[in-house]
Amino acid sequence: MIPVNVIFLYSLIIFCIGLWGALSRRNVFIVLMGIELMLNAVNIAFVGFASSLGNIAGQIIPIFVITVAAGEAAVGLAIVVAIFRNRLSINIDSFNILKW
Amino acid sequence: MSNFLAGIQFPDITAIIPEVIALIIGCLILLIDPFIPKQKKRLNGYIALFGFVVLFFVTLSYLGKSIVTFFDMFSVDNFSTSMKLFFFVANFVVVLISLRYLEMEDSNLGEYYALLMFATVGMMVMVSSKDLIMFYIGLETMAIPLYVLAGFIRMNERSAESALKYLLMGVFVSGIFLYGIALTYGATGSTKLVDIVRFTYINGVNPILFVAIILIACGLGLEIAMVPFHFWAPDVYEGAPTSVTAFISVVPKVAAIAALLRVYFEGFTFFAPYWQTVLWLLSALTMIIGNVTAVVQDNVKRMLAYSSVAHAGYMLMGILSFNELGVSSLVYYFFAYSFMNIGAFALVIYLRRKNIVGDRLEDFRGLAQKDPIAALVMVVFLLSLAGVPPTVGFVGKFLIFSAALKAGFYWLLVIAVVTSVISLYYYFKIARSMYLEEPVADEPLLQPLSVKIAIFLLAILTVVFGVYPTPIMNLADLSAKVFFGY
Amino acid sequence: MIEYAWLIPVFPLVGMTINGIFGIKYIKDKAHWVAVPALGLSWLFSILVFIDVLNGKTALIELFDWIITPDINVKVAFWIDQLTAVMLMVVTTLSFWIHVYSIGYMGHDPGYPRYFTYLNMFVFFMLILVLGSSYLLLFVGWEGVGLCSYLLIGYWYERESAWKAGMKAFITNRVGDYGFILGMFTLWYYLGTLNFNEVFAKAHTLSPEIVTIATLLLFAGATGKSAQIPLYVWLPDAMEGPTPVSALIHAATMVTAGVYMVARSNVLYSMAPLSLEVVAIIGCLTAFFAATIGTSQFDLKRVLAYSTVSQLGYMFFGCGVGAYASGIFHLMTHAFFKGLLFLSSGSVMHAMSDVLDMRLMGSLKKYMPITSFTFIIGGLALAGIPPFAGFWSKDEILHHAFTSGHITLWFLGTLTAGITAYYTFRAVFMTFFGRGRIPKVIKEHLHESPPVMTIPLIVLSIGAIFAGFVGLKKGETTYFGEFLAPVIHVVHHANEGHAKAIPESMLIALSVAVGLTGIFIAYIVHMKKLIDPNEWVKRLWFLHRVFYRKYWVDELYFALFIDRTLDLAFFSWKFDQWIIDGVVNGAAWISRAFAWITRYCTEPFIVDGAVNGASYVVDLSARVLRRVQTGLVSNYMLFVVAGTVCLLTVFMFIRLF
Repeated sequence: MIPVNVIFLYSLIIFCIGLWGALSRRNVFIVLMGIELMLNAVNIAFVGFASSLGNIAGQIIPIFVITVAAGEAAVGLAIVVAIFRNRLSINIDSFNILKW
Repeated sequence: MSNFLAGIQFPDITAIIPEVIALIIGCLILLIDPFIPKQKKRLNGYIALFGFVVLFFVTLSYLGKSIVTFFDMFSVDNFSTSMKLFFFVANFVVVLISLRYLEMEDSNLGEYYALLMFATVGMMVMVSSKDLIMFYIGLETMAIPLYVLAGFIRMNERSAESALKYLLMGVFVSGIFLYGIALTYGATGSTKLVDIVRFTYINGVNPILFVAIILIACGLGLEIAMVPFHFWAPDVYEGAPTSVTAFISVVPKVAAIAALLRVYFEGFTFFAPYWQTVLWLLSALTMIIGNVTAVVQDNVKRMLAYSSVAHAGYMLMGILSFNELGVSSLVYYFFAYSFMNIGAFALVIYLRRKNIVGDRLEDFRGLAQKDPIAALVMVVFLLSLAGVPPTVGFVGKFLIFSAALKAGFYWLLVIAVVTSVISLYYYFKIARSMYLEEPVADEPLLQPLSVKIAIFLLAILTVVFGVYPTPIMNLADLSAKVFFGY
Repeated sequence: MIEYAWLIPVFPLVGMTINGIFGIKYIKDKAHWVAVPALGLSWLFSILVFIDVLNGKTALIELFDWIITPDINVKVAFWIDQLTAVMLMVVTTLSFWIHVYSIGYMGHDPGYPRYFTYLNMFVFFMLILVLGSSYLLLFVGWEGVGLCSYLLIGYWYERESAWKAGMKAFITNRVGDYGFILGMFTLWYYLGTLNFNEVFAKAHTLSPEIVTIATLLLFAGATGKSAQIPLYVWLPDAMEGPTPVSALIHAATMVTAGVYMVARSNVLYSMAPLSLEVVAIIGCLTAFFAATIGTSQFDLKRVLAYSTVSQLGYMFFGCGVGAYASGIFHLMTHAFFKGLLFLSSGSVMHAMSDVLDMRLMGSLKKYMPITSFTFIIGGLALAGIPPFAGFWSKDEILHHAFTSGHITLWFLGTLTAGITAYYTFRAVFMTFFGRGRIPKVIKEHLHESPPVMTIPLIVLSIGAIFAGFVGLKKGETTYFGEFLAPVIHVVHHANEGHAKAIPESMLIALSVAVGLTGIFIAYIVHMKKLIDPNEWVKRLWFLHRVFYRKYWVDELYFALFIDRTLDLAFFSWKFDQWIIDGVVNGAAWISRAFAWITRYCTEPFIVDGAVNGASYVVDLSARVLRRVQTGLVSNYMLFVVAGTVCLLTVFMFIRLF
């Protein structure tokens, strides 16, 4: 039995790695991946808490989260495709017509 | 088998009938859209209009009812019902201003209205839920269609860019929001608001929950567009199709504020002094930064974006007052804000014509001579946004300020009052442009009928409910009783 | 009749609606057929209501609920008592005759229906202001008239100076209004109500400090609306509007709203001696300073504008020494004679093709006998020469100032009366008498104004002659004072001794003498030219410069506030850019640090590893370094994270300590 603190710390680390990825990468896909990593960190936290609390709800929540994340990814990819047609680029830095 | 089911209390399906109807209408539009010839795509819009009318009356019958079902996760009460009524009123007008606009943008597709419906379902779930995960699901059900709507004019690079920015910000922040929920779950063992309240009542405050409160404010703060989570708003508002901007500047913002209100009031009741302080700071920053930054904008959509950031600050005052007057003034303010803000954006749509988006300050130049009535109506909206009597904006601001004062937030009141002075300046920039400058000779105005109807309706509502606010006030008082009616 | 008083504001509202909707397309140059009869009806009803009030009736007419919550209860209701009745008479009489005058004055203006729409709208809001039964409703009117004033000042929007003046008026007024709002909230917070009768009934429960704060805040609103120090700067510029507008809004009605508000709140002010003192001092100083500026202006309307500021100062001065009835009395007489002066100057302007510089006038009496006659009557009333209206009211204020023990202020007030007489008759002599200095082009079609303009002038001059007689003595008080007595909470001053020491007749004689002296000086300087004004200007160049440049207040305000506001806006706009730069540099620094760690932690691998591995890591480091330029969305995300972290830090900190 892994102590809940360890699981929590683990999820926190994963979350921060995802955060770092989302903040620092310039390729839209990698940014999206970073965000997915954040969401998965949350899932880990939920499952960890659930097992330590002996509460089934926390194990079901990740299923919702994964579903929503899938929806977001689908829409995200579609939007990236749309913007790629306009700009011929998926570099996040090149999307700055709208500013100040 | 019967033994197994015996222990489970079957949920009360009647509670979600409006949501189901909205879903069905959305799917219906998607289904029949392929069979509608390209010239008659407006039919989709009419279905949506009709749908919102039906939903309005169906939901109206829920007024006064109080149902908590789905294992304490879903609640129908006067607050959620009046919020749903608000969504239908606002969405009705949004559809009205979209009808002709989409044709002008050459993207009159049925999906638009279907997505609007699905987003509405998400918001309805949001205001009704009493469970953090339900909030999350509602938020995402609302947000995903919004990303698509923001990029609805696919071939327009500004629209696509705003969609991408909105999506990235939205998804990113939803991760933070979820982490807040996870922390709450870890600390209290449940995501239900009732359980959280019970847990904190029995076990006292838990430091982890202090973090969770801020993370949740951050997650919902994105849709509310409060500082420092507002950075996406001006970009997205500017790039998105104007009708969508009118929508996302009002309805999701209101839904998120309503959700935040419920989470804080019902879930973190015992943390009130703490989140009041957090929101105090955020509200002050939001009012200051929103109003001050708007001053130098010369794109009207962008200016209105900053103005809507500022209005979010005023609305936060309603939450942090944490009293009955606060809630009722907030509900009133929602209606007031929707009339005037959608109205102002409708005017931008009204100016949309060949090669002209209608969102630059120059596009408003000399409108008083080209179309005096439209200019007058715009002035009504601007006055209302600035909070000049006798408009809804004034009554709303007055109520919210009173609520904050009643809760003892003097300095916040002073900040709010002072920033309102600033707001007047930039609103009047538009008025000045319309009245005091000569019109530029360019494409004639199209004056589409549906937009005309919408702006007149909104202008009349803006004035009438400013002079006679009782109907909305009654609804607002009913909503406030949900939290404070002992 | 009094129960139909709610109809009074309805007529202009209807007029405004009809002209507003149909004016530009259908009614066009017949707009006055809607606007003027509407005002006529209002006037008629006001007279009937006034007669009822004279017979001792008062009423509270509740129309409908406005803002009703458990904590706030404000109805749309009209409160009609003696004070309201007086204001109603002033507002509707002046409005009606100025509407009539406008038919002639604005006759050839392309925006004719628009003008009457605004004018009716103004009257509507002004009536709401005086009829409203609560501070909130008063505020509705207060803001409404401000808006109309803005619209009408900027009426000729083609002129840049006009819309700039409009903006200046609106923004200056808003500054004061926020004082008013905060004052209103203070009252609501401590009393839980904003209705006049409840506020005044409960007022004694307030502590003196709170009353002082609330009344001072309310007075801040009044300084904006009624053009007092320090917010008077907008009124002279407001003369950019059409002259009837200056007469109605910027002399007779709107600008007196502050005086009305103070008199209405007399219960509160009487409880706060400090506030009263402030009101008196500000009023008296404004009267004095504005009068001195008035002596050096050459623009006829500007002279009158500064004179208005000065006279408003007198009204506040009157209220401040506790003589609210005298303040209102002066408000009434001033409405007549200043309205008259403005309309007469409008008539001059009309004839002179919009020339307003007095240096280009003179000998106009020959050409415009009626106008010059009415102007002189107005001038005599303003100068305080008996038996004209201004004499009675001004004298009453000075008398009260004296008896209440404000000897210094009384002296300053009397001195101001002399200066007033001087600049008024300077204007009279320069405009209507002496050698004609009129340019030839204008002289050719110089003419008296049509009857539609001169009849209002004659009517108002009757008012300017006779309105003062209601202030005749009746025992201890005056007829007017007795009429207002039910609404005025009288302050009894301790040191009534001065009144005994110097009999009232002496004071009257003194102020008349001062007034006559002022006129005499104006006569010898500007009529007989016994003293060359230019030489005196040279000798007193410094004073003249100070007065002419209006104490440089405009320049000061511009430097202090307007510039700073723009700076702030500019700053916050730049803020985004600076922050982004800062973040970019910060990110660069972090990335470099990260690269440094990467390199030194991974160096053993490079040394030991294959060429592929090495290139990979170098590539990685390069990419890490390239991250210096993060994209904008990433920046936004970074803000979200930074914001959240800041919040967490700040609030954990608060929590821990």
